[in-house]
Amino acid sequence: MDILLQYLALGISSVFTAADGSLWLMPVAMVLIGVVIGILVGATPGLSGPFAMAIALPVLVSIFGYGNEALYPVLGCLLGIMKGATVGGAVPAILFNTPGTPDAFLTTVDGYPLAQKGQGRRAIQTAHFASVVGDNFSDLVLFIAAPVLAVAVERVLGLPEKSALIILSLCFMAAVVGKAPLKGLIGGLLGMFVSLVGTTMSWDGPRMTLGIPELGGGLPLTSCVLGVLVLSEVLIAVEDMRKDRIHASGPVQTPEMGPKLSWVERWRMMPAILRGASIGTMIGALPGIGTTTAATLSHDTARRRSKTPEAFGNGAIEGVVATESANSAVSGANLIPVMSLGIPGNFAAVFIILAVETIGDFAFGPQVFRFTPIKEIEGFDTIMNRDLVMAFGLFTMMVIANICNWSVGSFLMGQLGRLIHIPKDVMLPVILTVSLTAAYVQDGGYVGLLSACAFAVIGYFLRRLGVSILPFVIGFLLAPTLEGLIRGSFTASGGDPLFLLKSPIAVVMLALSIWLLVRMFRQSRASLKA
Amino acid sequence: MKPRPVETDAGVPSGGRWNLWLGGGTLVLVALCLFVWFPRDISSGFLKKSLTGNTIPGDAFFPVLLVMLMVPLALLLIVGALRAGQGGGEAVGRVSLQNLLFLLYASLATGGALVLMALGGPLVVWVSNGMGLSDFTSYRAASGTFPYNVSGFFLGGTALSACYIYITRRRLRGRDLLVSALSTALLILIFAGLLDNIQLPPNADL
Repeated sequence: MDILLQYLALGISSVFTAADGSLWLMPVAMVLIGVVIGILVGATPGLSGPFAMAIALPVLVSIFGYGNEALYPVLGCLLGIMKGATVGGAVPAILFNTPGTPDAFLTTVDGYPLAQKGQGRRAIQTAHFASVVGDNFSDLVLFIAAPVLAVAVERVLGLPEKSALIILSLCFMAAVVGKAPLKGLIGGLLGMFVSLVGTTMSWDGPRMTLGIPELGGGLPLTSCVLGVLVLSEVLIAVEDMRKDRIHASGPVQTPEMGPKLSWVERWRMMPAILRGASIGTMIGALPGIGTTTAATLSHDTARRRSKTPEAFGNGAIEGVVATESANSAVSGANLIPVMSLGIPGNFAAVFIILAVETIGDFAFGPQVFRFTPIKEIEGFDTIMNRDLVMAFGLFTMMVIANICNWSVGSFLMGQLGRLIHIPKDVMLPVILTVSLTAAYVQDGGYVGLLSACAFAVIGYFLRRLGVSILPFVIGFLLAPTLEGLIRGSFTASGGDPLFLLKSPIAVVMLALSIWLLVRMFRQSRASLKA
Repeated sequence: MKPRPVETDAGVPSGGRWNLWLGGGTLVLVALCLFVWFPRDISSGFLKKSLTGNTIPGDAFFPVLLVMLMVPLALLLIVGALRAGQGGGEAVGRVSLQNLLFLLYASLATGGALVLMALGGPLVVWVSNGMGLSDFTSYRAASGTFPYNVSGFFLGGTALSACYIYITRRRLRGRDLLVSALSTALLILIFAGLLDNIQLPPNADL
């Protein structure tokens, strides 16, 4: 227990202390800036948290550099954006029936009718309260579950089991995201495949570069993810607006806002909020299952348990509570597989991992939560697990982001109705220019910019063909880790061709992967026939 | 942009022969990799002997495993599509000729703006020299001096945003051009004004 408290204290103090020991408030400031940006982005239809994180990452790296000291400000800002966006998305959903982010899609079902009845302020304050409580709840679960899971994984799993776990995660993601699991998995393998260009682990020179020397160092990670996630989405949106001749202009009038939400009402909501948050946390902890699933399940549960189920869909405040508490609880829980296993489960987590891989020498995974005894050796240094200090520092910044969400979010949410008027047909082209500039700046020239363009085209085709982008991106990110594990397992087995099947745990995981795919494939065929 | 969940692909239409094309394309890619690309572009092979005589994975080990895993998936995709007949198989979207035409527009807009970005700076220097306002020997000599160092980016960035606004709206208003120019100027202010050691396009490639 003592050692836990020691690391906790070191983690908290590391957020406020510079390398020379002086007071440093930059990480806190960046968290605040991130939350404000996140809330603004969330309230702007057409943008989302991961969108803003994708563009912010290269800019932040340009500002703070690649050293270890850059990690807190950069991650603080990204965490702030991630959390702020989950809160802000409800405002246009409630006032104008237009979700600011995909997360808030189901909030329109009951939020918009409430606003039409003159209870817009009450609905927005309910959304804010449920969202922030849900987020805090899932963060608490993360703080407890991530170390416990990591310690268990570190004790039980060796190289073959860790390889099998990544394969199982990828299969699970492909199976649950989208309606085409086979193509999702092919996309995941393709993502891994393209990430192998250039880099090798045996130092025998670059591979698969097609004779292009610029690819010798591998494809630029951030630019490629920026291209496949953001630019392809912009291309699809631009094409859809062009085809439908949508000249996006927001509604002219903000509805009557009505009375405030009382503290008694907030207290009465707590059981429903905790139920929604529990559903969101459970869903969020599984890689690949998004906020929409959590919100749908929570809304449906609340409706079935309600004494007035007919009110749902016609302006039930319980409907707003259920969707907002669940979709916000997903964000914290999504970081459980990230922090304990190094496996991202959604797009926001992808950018947290990208930031960690780009900056400094910290890396997520079970090794982070090794509670190495802290020993000071005179004349040398202090022996400790600095990654664990960093992890507790991240937890601290999440708490700070939650405090910002409580205070700043509450103030901002009442003022955000105007953002609906930003025309998407002007905003998205500007975002495209910003993204390409960020790719050029981050990856030092046209290699980054052209990689972003090429991956935008790949992303465009994947999206148009209904192939999920998430397995592709996660495969792209996890390939080096999986290659290292597979090579290590093979070498350790003495060149045994059945190296992955020697461990019962690995066999079970691989069998589960195959079972998942077969089941999902059958389900998708059955649903098509129906 | 229509509001839709990012992490799911709800509303993906089913059918068409795209599953066959995708499955077949994957098999062709696998064959190309195994028989043409990998042998020529990966130097250390599938397995190799270490200095101690142990068998260890070569650089082709993992790529070969990956592409081999694609084979059963591609076959399942093809078999599923063939069994279900025309319009069957796993849910799949489609890429139409209109989509390809749009990509062509987008490529032309992006390519044109990037060319303007690359040539805009030298053009401004040439005009400035011609008017007697400067006497730089080349753009490279001027690439550290404001506003010459950002002139190409300003022209190209403004053109890029404006072109895409035109593609989206099918018309371009004066204020759209103004928004494009102002947003590009803001990027210049952030990257070139407030940050050190940042090179805006095309200056990192001179």
